[in-house]
Amino acid sequence: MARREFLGGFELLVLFALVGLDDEAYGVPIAKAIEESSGREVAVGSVYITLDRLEDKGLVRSHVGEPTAVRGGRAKTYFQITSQGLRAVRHAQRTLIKLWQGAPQLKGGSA
Amino acid sequence: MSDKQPPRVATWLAQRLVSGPRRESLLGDLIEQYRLGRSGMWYWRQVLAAIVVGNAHDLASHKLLALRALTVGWTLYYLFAFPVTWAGGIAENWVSHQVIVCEPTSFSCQFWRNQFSVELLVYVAAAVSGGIVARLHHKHWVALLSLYAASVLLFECGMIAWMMSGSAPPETISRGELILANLTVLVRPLSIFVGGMWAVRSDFGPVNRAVQ
Repeated sequence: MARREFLGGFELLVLFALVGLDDEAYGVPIAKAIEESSGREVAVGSVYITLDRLEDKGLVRSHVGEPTAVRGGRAKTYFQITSQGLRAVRHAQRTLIKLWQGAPQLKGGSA
Repeated sequence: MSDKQPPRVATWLAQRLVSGPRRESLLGDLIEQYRLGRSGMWYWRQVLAAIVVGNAHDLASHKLLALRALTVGWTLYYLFAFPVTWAGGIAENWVSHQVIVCEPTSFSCQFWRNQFSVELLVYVAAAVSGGIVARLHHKHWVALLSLYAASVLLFECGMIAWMMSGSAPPETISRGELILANLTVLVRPLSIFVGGMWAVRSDFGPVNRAVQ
């Protein structure tokens, strides 16, 4: 059986954000999507480090766009989730749901 | 969208101290967001976080390189101690007679003579050692040089604490002078960092178009 690495909490958030953003995913929209769902400010630098790690694992691929004046002449780096990344997200989702269903304290009502 | 300029110092720091291949994209993102209405405080927070998080990640993923940087840095630091001690004695003698002529028993006289002779050479040697460490590890120079500089700072603070625990300061030293003397402990790590930054200045990328 192939060894499958567990995804970290922030890695999973970044992958979820990528699934929702399709082709328009670069640092800022990814950070914003995580901020909106978690309600906490996210360091764009942390997002890039996580994306680098995910790319090393083959879960994400990237390409560099054209530089624009609005960004001080700097290009965007766009990120896309790979099919391996999608499988990893689905697997994490199934694992979380199973764990959720096995925890009676989390059923019905708020914490 | 406005074309207001983001904080220059923060951009300057980001250009030099953010590690990794995504630095330009990250900086572009921050500039874009700032021009879309984010505050200067937000920009500063993001730049500082990017510097800290990126370099901490660098250190965590290159432990052997970190060990090598520490070994090289401390070896140089001690190798330079011999010529610095020799040349420092000559320089202190010259400074005492030609530059700072004062009452030799006063603390400030001794302090400034020492600063402009022996210590000045120590700062230069520290900067050279920082430059060599940075050149040898130029891909991760910020993280590894910070580690080396922090270890020197820790060592120097330990030395001061040890010396002060052994004997009380002479009564002729005022509290202000004592604080000033202890603050110089920061100059060696700072020299290491400045030397490193100078040595790898050509790696900073398109600095001139920091903000357009």
